[in-house]
Amino acid sequence: MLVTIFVVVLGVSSALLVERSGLRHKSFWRILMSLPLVVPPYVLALSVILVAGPRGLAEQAFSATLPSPFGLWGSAFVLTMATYPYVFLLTSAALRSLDPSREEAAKVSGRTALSRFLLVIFPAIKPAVAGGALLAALYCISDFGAVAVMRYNTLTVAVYEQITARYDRAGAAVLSLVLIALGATVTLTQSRLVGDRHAEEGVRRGDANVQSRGSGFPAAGGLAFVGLVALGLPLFSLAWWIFTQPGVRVEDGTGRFALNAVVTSAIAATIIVLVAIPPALMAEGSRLRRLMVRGMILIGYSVPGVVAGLATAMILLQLPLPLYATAGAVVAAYLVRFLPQGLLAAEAGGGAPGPLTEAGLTLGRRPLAVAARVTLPLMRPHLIAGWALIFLSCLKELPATLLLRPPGFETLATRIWVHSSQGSFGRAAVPALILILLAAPPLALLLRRGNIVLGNPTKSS
Amino acid sequence: MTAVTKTFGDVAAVRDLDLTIMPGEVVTLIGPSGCGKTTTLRLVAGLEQPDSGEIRLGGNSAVRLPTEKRGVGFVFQDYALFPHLTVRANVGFGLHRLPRSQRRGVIDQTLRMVGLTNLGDKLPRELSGGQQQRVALARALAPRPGVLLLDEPFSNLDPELRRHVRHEVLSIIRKSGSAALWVTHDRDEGLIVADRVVLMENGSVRQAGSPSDLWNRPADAWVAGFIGHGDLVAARVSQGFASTELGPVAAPGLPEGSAVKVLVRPEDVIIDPKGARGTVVRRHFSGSDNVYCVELESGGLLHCKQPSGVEISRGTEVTVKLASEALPVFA
Repeated sequence: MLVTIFVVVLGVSSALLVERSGLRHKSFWRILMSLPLVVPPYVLALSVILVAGPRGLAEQAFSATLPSPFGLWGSAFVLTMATYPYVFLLTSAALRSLDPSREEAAKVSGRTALSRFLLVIFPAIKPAVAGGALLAALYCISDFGAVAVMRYNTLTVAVYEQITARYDRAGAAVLSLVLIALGATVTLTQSRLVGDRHAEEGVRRGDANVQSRGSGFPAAGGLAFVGLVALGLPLFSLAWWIFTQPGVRVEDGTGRFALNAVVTSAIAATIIVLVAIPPALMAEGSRLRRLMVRGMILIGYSVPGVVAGLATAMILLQLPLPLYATAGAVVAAYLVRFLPQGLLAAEAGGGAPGPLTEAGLTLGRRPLAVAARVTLPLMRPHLIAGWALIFLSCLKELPATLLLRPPGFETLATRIWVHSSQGSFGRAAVPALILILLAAPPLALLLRRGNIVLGNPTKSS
Repeated sequence: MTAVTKTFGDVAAVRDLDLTIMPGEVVTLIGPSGCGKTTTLRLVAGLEQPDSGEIRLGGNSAVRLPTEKRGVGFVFQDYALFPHLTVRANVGFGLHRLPRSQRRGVIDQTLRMVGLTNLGDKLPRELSGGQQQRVALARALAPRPGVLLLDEPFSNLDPELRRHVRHEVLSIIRKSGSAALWVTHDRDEGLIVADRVVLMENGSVRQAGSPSDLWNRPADAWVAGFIGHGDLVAARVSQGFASTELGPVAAPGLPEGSAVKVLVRPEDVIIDPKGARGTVVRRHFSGSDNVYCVELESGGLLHCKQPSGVEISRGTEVTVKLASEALPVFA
């Protein structure tokens, strides 16, 4: 709740600054503001501890003791910094697609900037803001790594402890149900509040190019500060730690951990995208499809990774397949966790060509031929972007990996976790830095169409 | 189409519709929006399934045929060009049944027909609206469909371009020999391009006939009102004539004393000293002529066409009467 409010304020104001101030190099700022998505929240948490924690950089450099970063406020800070890009991305996309004539009309009517924002801009971007806030809120509910590192006990941590420390499956299952119910409640409440906004889309006249006023300097300063904290802080402190601390060295097998992470993530992302294609080809606007989209949004964003991992473990134990405690089990958990997101991404790409499909049919091509020659080529960018998104998410996924990895199978995420849970934060710095660097290329791919794939959950309802 | 009905929920989009088109004929479907024109077109194409009734193409029942087996051409309102394919690939999309060696020739020939020979390698987004329109037409015509269906093909073009493209498209259709069913919301366009006009309202046919039938012999006052370009003047029948304040009109066979309406077009009204008195309230100058709107003493408004050179200023009193006694009268 706390984080959601912070996230909305930070996300909307940064989007407004980027899209509506006199800032130059808007696309640079857009990328900078979305880049924090590559930093897994537990890595950000780690770097906050490296800087502000006991015997951290701040303490060493200024011999000042900062307020302890552990607990509620520290967790809220980290989660805000980690999730504001959701709101930023959706809001800035909405601002860009806003018909400039609406704002011009308000300007001509002599409204001040503030009342223009309240009366014209805000109602138009409200669905986007709400969608971003929903994603952020659901993320916070389902987050495991960051709160665990910050030693703030939430439900996800409790589920994990039930299963690993006490082997209490029933207890973990009950807590998981509570978690899912919480996520589902947030989703449903939010879509009720915002309502069906399909009508809002309307006709628009190309991309907004509203004349912006004022110097870009203060805007740039504010944005640079946010970017510095969310992105610069982890990069800098991790690098600092690696290069200056004598006790830190590159652990044996780090390359193998990275390879493990990349391979399992790539396999999972590929399977998911392939599986997601056929449902996306379903007739547009059919009742079944709308139901599916709704369901996917609900499941995709309200089932935490720790629950997905748990569920996969239980299913695999029942199956006669020798999958449990193999790398395949990890891939299976990723499938369970991220399939809904893959379906959403593919659906976003399959939604467009309804009339084009009809055109193909009237030209005498069979439905399959139309799908192959028209629908799939048009979906391709969405599929690629969806693949990148899922790859990125799998790479960062911690709790499901922890629960299902076979003995000795480690990924970057689990190494970070193991070291930081033993209190040796410095040793976690190397895998954390590698993880950020690995996550950057798929994000770059994503950013070009990020707002499409991220999918605004309120728009499709 | 025989007795075709199609409902969406509670709304009957097409109700018990009968419609026949002969080979080579151009038929336009006109009517107010929501009257079922587009649904009719989609039923023929198989993009909608009728609830009941029979659709035959070239003598064979088509109701069970999927769209891709019907051999129809469809020109969509927003063109629906494939954005990732070049003009040539768009035009060739429906030619998959031809051997590869012949496709090239057919594409070239079709592009020549629509005058786009040198734009074949462009993508749709690189073309102007009029050019995209012609690509859509070429794509629909390339497989030589027996029936060409056009759904408001010009609604995205500006009026100037529309007039120009309309004649081109019509001559291309004539050359191709396909039967064409053409939906338009533009009444004038519907009359200009058609061999036969079908006027629909609420899912059924109100009147079908040649353009001059609908213009000169509208079936009732509603049809006359929809075709437009005229005023309906109230009258009462007496001794076989409908007497209006502008003079009598022949009304054979209508009951004595009944209230009727007479369709009066601007060219049927002349300025004459023996006519009814009125005041000029508006003037519409269209180059070749002036149409004056006259407010009669009864309060009714009437339009009167005068040559371009006849200038009457607003507020002038005039006297007007009917040029003919043979005008359409509706009970």
